[in-house]
Amino acid sequence: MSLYAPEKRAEIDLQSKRARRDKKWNNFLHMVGNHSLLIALSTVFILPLYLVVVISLMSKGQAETRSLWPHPFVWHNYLEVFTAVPFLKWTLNTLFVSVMGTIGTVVSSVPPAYVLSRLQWKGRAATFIVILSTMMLPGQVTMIPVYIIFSRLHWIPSFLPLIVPSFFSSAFSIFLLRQFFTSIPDEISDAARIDGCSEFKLMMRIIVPLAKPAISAIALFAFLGSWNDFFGPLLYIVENPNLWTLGIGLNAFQGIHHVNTNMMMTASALFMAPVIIIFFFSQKVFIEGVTLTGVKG
Amino acid sequence: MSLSRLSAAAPFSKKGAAAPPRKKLKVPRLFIFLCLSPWLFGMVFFTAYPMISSFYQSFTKFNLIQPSKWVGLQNFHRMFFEDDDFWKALKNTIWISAISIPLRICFAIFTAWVLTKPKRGRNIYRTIFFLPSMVPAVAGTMAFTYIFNPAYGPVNKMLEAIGIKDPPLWFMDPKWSKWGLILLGLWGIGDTMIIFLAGLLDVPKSLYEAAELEGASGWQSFRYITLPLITPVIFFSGVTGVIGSFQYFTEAYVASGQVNDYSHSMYFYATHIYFSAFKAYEMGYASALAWVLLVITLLCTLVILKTQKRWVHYPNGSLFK
Amino acid sequence: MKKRLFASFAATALVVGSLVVASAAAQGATRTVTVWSPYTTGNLDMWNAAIKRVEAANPGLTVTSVGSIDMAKSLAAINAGNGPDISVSNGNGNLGWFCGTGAWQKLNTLIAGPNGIDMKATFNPASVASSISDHNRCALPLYSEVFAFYFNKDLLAKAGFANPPKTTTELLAYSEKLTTFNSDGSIKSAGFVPWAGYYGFDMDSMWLGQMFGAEWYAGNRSSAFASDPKWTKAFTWQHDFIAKVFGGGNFDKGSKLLTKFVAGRGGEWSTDHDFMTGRVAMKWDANWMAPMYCTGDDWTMADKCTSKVNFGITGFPVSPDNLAAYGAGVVGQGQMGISTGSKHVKDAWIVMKALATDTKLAAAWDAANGSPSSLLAKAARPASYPAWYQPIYDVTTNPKSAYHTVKNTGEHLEESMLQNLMASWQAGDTPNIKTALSDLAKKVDQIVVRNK
Repeated sequence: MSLYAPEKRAEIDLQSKRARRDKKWNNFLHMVGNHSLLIALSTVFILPLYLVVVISLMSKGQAETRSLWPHPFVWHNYLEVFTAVPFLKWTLNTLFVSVMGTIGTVVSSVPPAYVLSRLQWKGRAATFIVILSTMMLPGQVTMIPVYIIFSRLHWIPSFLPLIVPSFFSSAFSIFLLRQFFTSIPDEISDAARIDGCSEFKLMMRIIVPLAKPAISAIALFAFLGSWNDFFGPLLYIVENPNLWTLGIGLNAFQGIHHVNTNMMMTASALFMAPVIIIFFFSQKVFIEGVTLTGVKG
Repeated sequence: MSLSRLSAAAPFSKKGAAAPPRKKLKVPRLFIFLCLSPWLFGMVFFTAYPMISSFYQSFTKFNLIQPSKWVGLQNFHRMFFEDDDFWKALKNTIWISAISIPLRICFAIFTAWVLTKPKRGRNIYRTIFFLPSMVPAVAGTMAFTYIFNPAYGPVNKMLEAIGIKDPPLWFMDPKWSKWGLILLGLWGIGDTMIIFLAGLLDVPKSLYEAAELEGASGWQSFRYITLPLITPVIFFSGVTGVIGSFQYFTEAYVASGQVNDYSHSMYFYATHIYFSAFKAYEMGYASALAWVLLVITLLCTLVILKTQKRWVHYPNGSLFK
Repeated sequence: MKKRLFASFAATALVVGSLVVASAAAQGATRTVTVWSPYTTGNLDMWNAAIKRVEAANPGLTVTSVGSIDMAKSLAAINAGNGPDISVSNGNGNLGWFCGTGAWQKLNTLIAGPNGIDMKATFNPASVASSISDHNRCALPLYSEVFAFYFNKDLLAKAGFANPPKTTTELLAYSEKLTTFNSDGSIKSAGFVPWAGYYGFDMDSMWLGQMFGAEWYAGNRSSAFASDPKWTKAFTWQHDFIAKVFGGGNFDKGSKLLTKFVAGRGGEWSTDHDFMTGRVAMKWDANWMAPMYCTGDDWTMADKCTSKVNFGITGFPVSPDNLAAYGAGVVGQGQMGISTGSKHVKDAWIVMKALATDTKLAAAWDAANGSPSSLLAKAARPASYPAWYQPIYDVTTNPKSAYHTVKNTGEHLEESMLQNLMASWQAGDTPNIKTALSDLAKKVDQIVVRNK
């Protein structure tokens, strides 16, 4: 037996129908509002990239007329950039340095991160704090003596100063890996040790494969960091044009004879492209990697 | 210990877990040492020794050709009393830090907040927002100086189209060039935004629901629920922002090269160190500059650290577990 | 076992050690001189041919020549301790720096010695003057870079001017007539652009000073930016120019319009350079730009000019009280010096002297690059050079042409500081030019003292 009389019930039903309809309408408005905002923001973020691509396809004359769409499409620009400047060489140089740097970083950062997280030993906390604090050090304080060391070794100009230090660990990579390693249950290590597994084997055969997401993340960050690096090459390879990376080459573009200024956009587009492509294929790794920096501890 | 307790299928939590106390496990000292050795070697040769060396060098005059000469406090005297470029660089650096760090944090929170709204398609938007922060600094800067060029860049054309009669000259105008750099930095907000996104998503939905039931407005629930709970992220961004912005170099260097920045409007502290060391080969002076930078950065970080107790709320009590 | 290990170690060390000593001695014994230059392709071939002539004239002497290395790289190598014996700089703005820091050795004794050179009798006056810094000669001149005044004959004729402007007053008057504006008030084409950063290789302030005959150092000692009133005159002139020609009397308006105009300039090394498209009618410029203005190709020197711009070259316009200097321009030198730490100084001197006085090289270089030789000898002139280029030579040989005094101010700091001052002044950011110049003078003096 309901508390309400039928007429009252009908009224309530009508009211709740209206409320539901209002709520649906409200939700719809919210959704439209949100998406409009998102689309507006997306436009702002994409705009510079759009302009780069669009200007890179314009003829030289049109590129300086503030137009927003190529008339005609000068696809030839993308070929011409390889003949106007040694673009292929710059790309290969950048690739070489990035790959070597990535290998160095991964190989040298996994073991320290491992012992900082999977083993207990005296001084572990202190070491970790030291590593953390080096992350906060301004590079300028060590930059000059390091330059002098490399200069005395006659490694300037060459790729060595860009590659060799990556084989001596990156504090950031150690930090990130350590955060991930600590989340792997101890039981796994314990079980392996009981089975007589050596620590080394345990690290390489069991823990490392489990940490693939984190290792992929640091590898990606290392590659990107190297690909995008400007200051290192500026210091160590700028004297020898044969060793120039894309960043140095692009920056020197304007001073190079007989090169159209709109080619700068073509070169920029090509410089950005690998990063964007890699990003699309490995987004998950990136984003998880960034969140792994563990702001919340 | 029972082997049956081993569960390889257990999902790993992203939050770090402290290792439980061990009983009588032999510490493989050699293994630990070997594993740490690359880091240790790097630490000694690329961090510790250079720091000591550059500290010593800041009291010398050294141009790499002639032997190093001790000059006591002359470098510091020159820095503070004779070097206009130092003050210009410092002013520019402080200005851009003071403006862009809060601006970036606000914009990161805003964009992250917008990203929490949609139910579908969030990943696409997230990708778009994040993408610019991956782009190489040189390419991004060249793109911006080109498209913001007042004579042939499309941006001013668009501004004029929406009614702004006399758009600024951006990088060509010393009064606007730093704003151009700030816009460039905001364009690359992705990496900061992502950590705020993680922080925002971590706020328990139940809190919002409870607030809604009690009639709290959107702004109120943001102000009293969201904001306090993301203060750890704000803290982290603040500290890394300070450290990063005092080393700001590439974008400024590339942009000033594109436009002949005679008034040094885009001349920052790191630029000054670079030119002193690698153009003028004044290694002693540059080292002195670097150490002053270190002190300033430390002070700023300490200030933020000291105040954190007052405004940062940690859900689990404190920063270090 | 340990004893044997030690013995074999000692033996190896001995062998290696003696090999090292032997090779070092051998190096010192053979007469090899390394020469680094910034030259490439054709220029490098001429350079190497000259070097071969030196080797032929000096049996037993070997010269290793490496091209594509500019002075910045050479300097870095010298700083790192592995520099060449001889290095070449394309300009002399940094002579004070190279000389003062010891990157280039002092040559005074060598020049005065038995195998020396009579500088005044061998080289033209501008070259002699610009290879010395603070009474120390650290370089020998090779060829000149000449900065003169270029003007568009057609545009001038259309405006009713048969001859290029001789004085700064005329320059302003001409520009007022030649400058045109768009319907929205922006500048369409300019008569002349006295603006730091227009296309000036950062030398606009230097050229501005040259027009007024302003000195950089008073009696070669202290900075003359404040003590020489001609600097204030020069900058005030620039101020008036911007106001009158571009702003209709209003300096701020002119400055803003000019900033926008400069932002839209055509590419520096392409055929839409403002001077070639007629966007600017007159400008200060370097000798190496002339071939491009002539044919659009800056690598070749043609007999007849084929590009659209019908241009002439002459000396800088001068301030009315400086008329005696008309016909002159700024003339700098490509130079070479012997690095500090060189182990073959005597031999390097032989090579350097030979290269600096090689008339065959000078003539060939001149013909290919249009860089007037620093040598006085007639044989150093190329056999034939186009008539339209002749004014460049006239400027070089004009006794009033020179580069400013150079002192050790680091990487030509006084030049960049002056340029910065000009830029700040033209943007309206410097309220009082007199105080700014006096601050500048003080700073330059501080730098010179510090670098002693």
